[in-house]
Amino acid sequence: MPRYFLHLQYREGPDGLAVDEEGDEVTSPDALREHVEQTARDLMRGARLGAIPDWRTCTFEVTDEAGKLVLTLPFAEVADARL
Amino acid sequence: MDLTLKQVLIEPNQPIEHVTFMEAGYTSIAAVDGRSAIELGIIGREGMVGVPVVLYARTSPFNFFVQHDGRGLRMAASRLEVIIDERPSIHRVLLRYAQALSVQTSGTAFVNAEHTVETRLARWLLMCHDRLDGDDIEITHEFMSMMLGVRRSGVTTATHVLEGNGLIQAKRGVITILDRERLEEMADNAYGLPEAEYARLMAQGQ
Repeated sequence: MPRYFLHLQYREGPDGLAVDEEGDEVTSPDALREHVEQTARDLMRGARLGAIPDWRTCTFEVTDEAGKLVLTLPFAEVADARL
Repeated sequence: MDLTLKQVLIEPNQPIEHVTFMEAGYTSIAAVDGRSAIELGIIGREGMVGVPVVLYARTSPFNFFVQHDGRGLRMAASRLEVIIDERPSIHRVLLRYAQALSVQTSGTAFVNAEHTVETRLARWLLMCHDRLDGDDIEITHEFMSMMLGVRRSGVTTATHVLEGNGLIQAKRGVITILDRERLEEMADNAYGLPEAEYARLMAQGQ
């Protein structure tokens, strides 16, 4: 299964990027977007971080095993879709 | 006996055959549901795995598995049952440990309800650090994610925050404690009460 790395931009600038070194296995590239959206929804619902007063300002930058950026997902998109 | 990562010492709802007095490393008490697990408590060289036996319960609904390699001394549960009946002074000490562990798991419930992921991570790292020699804690974010019950990105971000503040250094698979004092400040009231209660209870002697 392909592995993707979900880096989280939680503040502006290079210091605000939490780099994912471990990655998630996703069944197929087609399933990636759903996986990332679900992860964002779970975080917004269940994770309370002092550094992140508002998850809607966060963005996932997703890279593949070659380090290529394959998806950018602003949390606001997922949050708005729920309304 | 040697204890290795992920080794199960007590399975949920199965008869407890042995208790283990931990000498090195630590064991997690975890609520397990299918593939996911959430940590309720940690047992290291300060304690024993098998408190239900001390309370005359031969099973536990929870999973006790080794979270960090180490060593322990094993005793048959039936033997311990005889000892606690015959030696009330030993039983008293073990009962006080049971109380200390209960305070610790209550502390986990408190922080899960009350505190941010950063604070909970700080508490958890301090508890691991207490039970190890040296400052390196071998752990993946995947595992921390399970233990803290937060998606891995949440743990990675909390780790990033603690690292940015100079409290820890995170490399793949290893977290190094750089500034324990400030980590305790960060953990605030999430850390320290169960540890103090353990010290108080154990100081009472037999």
